[in-house]
Amino acid sequence: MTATITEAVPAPADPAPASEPERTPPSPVRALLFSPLMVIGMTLITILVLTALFAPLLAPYNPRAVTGPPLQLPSARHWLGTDIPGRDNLSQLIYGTRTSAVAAVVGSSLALLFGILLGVLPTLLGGFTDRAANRVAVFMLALPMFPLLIMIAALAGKSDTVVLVVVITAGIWPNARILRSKTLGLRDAGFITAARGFGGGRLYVLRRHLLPGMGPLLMVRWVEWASTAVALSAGLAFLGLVDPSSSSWGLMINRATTQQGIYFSPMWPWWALPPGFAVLFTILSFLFVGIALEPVFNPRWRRSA
Amino acid sequence: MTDIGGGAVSAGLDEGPLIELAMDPKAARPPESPSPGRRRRRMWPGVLGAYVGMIAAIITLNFFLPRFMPGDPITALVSRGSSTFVYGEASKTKLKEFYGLNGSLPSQFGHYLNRLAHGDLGRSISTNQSVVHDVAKAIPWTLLLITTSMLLSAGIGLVLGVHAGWRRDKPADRVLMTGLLSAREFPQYLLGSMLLFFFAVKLGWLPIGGAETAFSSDFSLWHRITDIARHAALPIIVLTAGLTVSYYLVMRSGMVDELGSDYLMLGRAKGLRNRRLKYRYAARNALVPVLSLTAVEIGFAVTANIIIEQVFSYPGLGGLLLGSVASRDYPTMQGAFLVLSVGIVTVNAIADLTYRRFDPRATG
Amino acid sequence: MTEASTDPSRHPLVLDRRQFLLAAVGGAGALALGACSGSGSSKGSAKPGGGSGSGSRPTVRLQDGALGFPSPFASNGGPGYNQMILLYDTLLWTEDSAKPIPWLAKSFTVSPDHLTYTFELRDNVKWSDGMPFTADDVAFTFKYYADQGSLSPPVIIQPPKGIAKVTATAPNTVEFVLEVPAVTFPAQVAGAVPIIPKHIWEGKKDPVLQIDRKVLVGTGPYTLTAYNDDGGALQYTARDDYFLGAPYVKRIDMVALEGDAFPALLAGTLDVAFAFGPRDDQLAPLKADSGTYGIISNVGDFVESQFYWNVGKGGPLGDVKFRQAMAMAIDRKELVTRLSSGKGAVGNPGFLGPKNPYYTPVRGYDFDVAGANALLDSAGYRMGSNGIRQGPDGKPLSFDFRFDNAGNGPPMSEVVIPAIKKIGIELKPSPALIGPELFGPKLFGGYDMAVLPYPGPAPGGPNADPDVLREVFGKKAPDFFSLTAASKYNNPEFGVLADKQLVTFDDTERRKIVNQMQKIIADDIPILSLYYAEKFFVFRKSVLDNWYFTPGEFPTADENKALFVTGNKTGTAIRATK
Repeated sequence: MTATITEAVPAPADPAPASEPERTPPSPVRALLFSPLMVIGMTLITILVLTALFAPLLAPYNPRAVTGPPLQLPSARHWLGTDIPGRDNLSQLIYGTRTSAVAAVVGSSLALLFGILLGVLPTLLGGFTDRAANRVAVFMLALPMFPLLIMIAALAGKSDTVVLVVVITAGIWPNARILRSKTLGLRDAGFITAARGFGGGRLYVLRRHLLPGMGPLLMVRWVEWASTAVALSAGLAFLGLVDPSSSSWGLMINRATTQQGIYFSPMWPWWALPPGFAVLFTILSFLFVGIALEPVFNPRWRRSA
Repeated sequence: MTDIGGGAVSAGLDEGPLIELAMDPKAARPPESPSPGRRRRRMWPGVLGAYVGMIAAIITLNFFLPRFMPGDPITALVSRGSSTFVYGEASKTKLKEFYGLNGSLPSQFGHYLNRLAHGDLGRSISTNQSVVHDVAKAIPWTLLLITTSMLLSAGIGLVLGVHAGWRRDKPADRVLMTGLLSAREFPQYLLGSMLLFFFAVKLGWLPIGGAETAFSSDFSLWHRITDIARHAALPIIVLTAGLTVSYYLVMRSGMVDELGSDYLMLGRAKGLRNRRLKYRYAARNALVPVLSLTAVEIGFAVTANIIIEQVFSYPGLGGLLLGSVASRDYPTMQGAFLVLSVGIVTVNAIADLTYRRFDPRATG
Repeated sequence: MTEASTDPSRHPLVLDRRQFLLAAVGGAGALALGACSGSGSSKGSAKPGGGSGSGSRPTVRLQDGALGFPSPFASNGGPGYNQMILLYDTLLWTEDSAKPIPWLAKSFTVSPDHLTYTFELRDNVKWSDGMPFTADDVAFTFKYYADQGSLSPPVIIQPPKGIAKVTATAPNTVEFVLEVPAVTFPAQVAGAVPIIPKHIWEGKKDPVLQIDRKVLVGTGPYTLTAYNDDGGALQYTARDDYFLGAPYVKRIDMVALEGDAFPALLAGTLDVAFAFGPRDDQLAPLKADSGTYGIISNVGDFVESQFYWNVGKGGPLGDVKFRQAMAMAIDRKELVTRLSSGKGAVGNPGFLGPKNPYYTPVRGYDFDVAGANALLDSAGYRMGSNGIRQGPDGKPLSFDFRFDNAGNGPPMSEVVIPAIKKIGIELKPSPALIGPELFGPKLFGGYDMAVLPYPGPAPGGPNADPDVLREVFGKKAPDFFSLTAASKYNNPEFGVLADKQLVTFDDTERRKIVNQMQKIIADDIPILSLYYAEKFFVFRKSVLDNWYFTPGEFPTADENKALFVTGNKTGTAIRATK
């Protein structure tokens, strides 16, 4: 078992022993296209994105407008019934995709961007900067993140921006750690030193050699963190730590399950389950894509799975 | 739900990509160090140093976080939950004194550390009990859920993993893996409320919430145990569902590794029976990374447990934290956070040390 | 003896910032001094019920977990008062009749100047530790409260104000001398302050921190036999040597319960359950079995939400016509339909609840968008091109609107904001936590408008003694009504009336004054009660079937100690058990 996956082996004190460079799989695109998980995942993600983009066209009502009697069972007018003041559940569900899509796209992208800033750049600079950045990342990773996020969200006031910031903050550190390991691996692979030797500036090295070399890893990380970001933001919403006047799946579940005796009401499955499964399917869609991407970029996986 | 935070202290693991972890059991292992001799000497001070640093940082964070956030704790105190509350400069001053919020920031910090050193976490606003007392009452419940679930999931995950690793690459293997991975992503509130609906409401087999029946101290011992078990059943099922996959994956890939190893080849060549090979040789070695997995999983378990306790109104630490957040009970909120954090970091440090002790490869 | 105060009616009690004030108790209709100055109903030692341990005396299981430590100093506000007062007694008490009845006191007399009250105490009263109860204990109690000028938080105790002197003139006689007469004294002081034993509390500092169960010595009908301090279960066992006879209810279990209590009642783990504005599907199984379950309901004593304008900010907020137009633009009936399952009543702009004995009909602000628009037009608020009106100064009518971000707050805002938009006023939602953000000092200058949940009887509640009007809207509003105080509402005419009603002992006369006050409030509307949620109280008939809502301020209004003790709605006689 010699094929060590460098990105998964953190080496805080000293660089990991020379690891072999990525073997390029024969035809990643082919493998991707024919993976059933990829197909399912991408289909779900496409639905999510389209729903988010065209929410105003798809939703029968304004999600915040009171358009029917309160807590009404599904009807021709309201396919998923109505909630407590009398808003259309289906419209809320449709608009809720936007919150999740933003959490996935913005949350994951920024978490990755800051991860690169804190994981790759200091490593290139080396020395104290590298050690300090690494210490911070190690520390942040060891912190019990979720209780901390609850504290922050509670103390900073309930707003969607706070939740987004919190989700991003949580994502920076694992990204930074993994990207650092990868950078170290690539650095030791030698060609960066070579590029530097030929007079390439640090940014040049980053742009021309590192980022392309990391491409596959970045992609996997992005997808994986998108999944976590959706789960995390929905979880915080479920705990009631978001702006109550927003529309999100987690908030719908929060409203439904905090309603007195809701489990005994025939309205329960129509109110709480659709957003719950929406969260689940969104998380899974990213997860599936992540799993499908794995063998393409990860020789070890292909071998063993 | 989410794989964030609560990694090992000194190893600084990323526990995010379970798949990677699964594929490489060594990923869950602390970094290699130059020489065995040096490592052994440096192990304890290193881990302990990191541990002490973490604790100090958490204590500091716990002090400064509320003070740097918008919203004044005292304001919250003087004004809880009613439009009829006492508000006056005199009472505000008194409250500030009581909660150690008077004086300069450094002196407050000194006061806070001093109280902490005496095991004083302050007094809860909603129960008027010392926070230590409330936290102490909550801890056993959380421990019950987490340890039971971890043991259960380790057991299930190991058995499934051994089988899957032994007969890897079969379609069933792939299906099982995808299924278990999905189970981990199943939001606890969704799974929890569905189970609640079916088992507690529809079938009426299990209680709808809480940790025990009121006045169960009147019960016989056996009655009491079954009562607690009935209350804990659903939370444990939900938590176990999420935890199993990582044990499964690690065991599975560990098996895959071991199967290729020389001594197994030798064993096969010697004609040892499959079952014996499977459990006596392969599984035993593959078990090692499982130890350190506990450290990785504790973060997930605590995260999931907070949501689960909310769904099932379970009176553990998560419930305490959320309840105090809802009622702006700052002392309890900080106390619960402190205990949760210190607990996680401590478990990590212990797992880290144990792991280094038991894994021959980690030290050599 | 007591420190000087100019506010004789001020509740003399523990002012707990949590939930409701302890001072919330006392009888609203408790003004008729004559009614209880005779010793008419000292039917004290009635025959004990089934006798101890006979099993025929019921155990009642209620749905509250421990709300603080049940001592007079550490119990948690209004609901906690209910739990505490089972262990302690007051000089007078309030039950179904709404008039203070004799309790620890057999009778009392009042001097013609209404400054001196003399209480004659019962003879056969013992503390739960066996020591005799005397007038010294009463005098000590009030001195002790007064001495707690500097109590430790978290519970802040306000010394009883307005009492000049409390003296034990004989072993069973206590004399109260007031600094200023106050019509509210019998209900809000004598009927509310739990008497504590001198031999336990003398010399004890920091009563708030006394949470050892040993301090729970009272004259009350019950002793605490199990206590789960983390908000869990409480168990009370009757004292068979109680001075009114062995209490009818043998044991009271209070069970902490999350969420809905109706299923627990159906499952047999509770004997009593209540809900505000329950859905029909919640009530249906209970209604279906009317042989087993009794249902009583009450609407008008529990305000769900109140709308506040920051009057002191001036501009449109200070303009009566602006506020009146807004009041007309909110369909309060719709709020009942949407937020309270249609079970409730619209709020009374005169502040007092419709069940309050002093309630008088005032202008109703019926839902009328056209009328509201016309009113705004006439007041010079011109409609802008974007659908938002402008004030005379050209500023758009766009305001910060705070509401609770939990419970009914968010759904309420979904109804209210669009409704107000229809008359050209924009409310920018600003969900906030009830504690720091809604009530904090930041809010005092900051908020424009707010809707606050107001869950039920307390001073300031709709069913309190009408003196609440003075406390909430009066010129010298006590500092604990900070939100109203902060809004700086001030109507001199109202202030004069408010001070006058407090010293008006003729009920007809006082009623006239209070009616006038309500009219002024309704016209000025610094606060608008949006709606009252109907409280449904369901009980297992076989256990106890005489439940009633106590008129007046009694904290939860349906779990009255007098019922547990006597088994009856009125009168202190013990009901015989079968």
